[in-house]
Amino acid sequence: MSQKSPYHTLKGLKEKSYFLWCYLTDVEAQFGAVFAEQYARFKQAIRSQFGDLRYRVTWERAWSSLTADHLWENLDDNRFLIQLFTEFAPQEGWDHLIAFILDRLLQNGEALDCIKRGLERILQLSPNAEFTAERKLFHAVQAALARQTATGRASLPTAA
Amino acid sequence: MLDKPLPDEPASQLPLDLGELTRVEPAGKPKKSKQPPDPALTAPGREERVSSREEFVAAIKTLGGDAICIQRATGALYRIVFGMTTAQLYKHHGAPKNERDFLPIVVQHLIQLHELINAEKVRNHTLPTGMEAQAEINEHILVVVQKQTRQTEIYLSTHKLFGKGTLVAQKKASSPITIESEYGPLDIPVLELENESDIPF
Repeated sequence: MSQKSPYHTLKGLKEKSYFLWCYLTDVEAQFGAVFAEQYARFKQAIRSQFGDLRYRVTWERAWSSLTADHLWENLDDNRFLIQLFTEFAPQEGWDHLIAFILDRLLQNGEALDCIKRGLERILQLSPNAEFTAERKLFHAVQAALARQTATGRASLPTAA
Repeated sequence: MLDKPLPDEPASQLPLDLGELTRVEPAGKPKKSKQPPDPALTAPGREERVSSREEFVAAIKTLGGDAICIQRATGALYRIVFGMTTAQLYKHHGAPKNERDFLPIVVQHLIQLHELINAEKVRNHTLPTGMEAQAEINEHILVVVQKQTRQTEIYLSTHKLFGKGTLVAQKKASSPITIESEYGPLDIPVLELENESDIPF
């Protein structure tokens, strides 16, 4: 990637998180006079859930968690769920946050079955593929499950 | 590495052992088996349903929408047509999440219809000049999809083809939908679309 992805910058992560939060809480992203009030509510929500807003890892966790929730609410296809991680993530520059997203996603009991079915379908239907990205995702899911088992509950990995 | 996996190949022979992806359940709690019976790969009309989804995704991607945009467009479609999120719709019908083959056939066809029409609409749409910010592009595409979905719903309602999507969503699996026509009530088990030219624009 020649241009730095917004998912690697604090500003970009804040902006993306704000929009996702607006979608999930069913409020319209506001600008102008009402923006300050709404943005304060947003920051309060993020702080209470994810911690100190001065750290980038806070925003990485926040964006990943909001993304996982948004994905679960709106996605209707397991193959696309896999493609999000294997194709869209590297293209859009958020592949370094997949571990965070999986940690949150796998808190949902059905999510693992969705991932498995999506992988299964892709492996069955894609002829002559190397499955490099799928293998990577497979291992990332394994690692996320191991983290869950180790802590006895779903938890977020430490920042890289 | 397999040369070319067969479509009905059992999961155990796939290049990755998906059985390895399991949670360790706490002792004393037996693992609930929620594995659905394998329905899907040979279900009638499955390829068409898969391709309608792919066309919808490809059209949005080509116009510049990102992953979030695709999710939002999908969510908007479900909300307008069924009045619920995707997660709620699957739960409502007792279907495993994201397994469209387990939804009632009429619901599957309704989603497919909307996806194809929206794909066509988005494919023929051009972004306003100078629009470069991703958030703006996403918002623009979302509005296009929302408008088209509402328009299609109005068309379907006024021509009594599907009735209101929200009513269709209440129907149980495999029960026919009844529509009121000038000849009296008609029970329609399935609306089969032969090709894209059958779709009302």
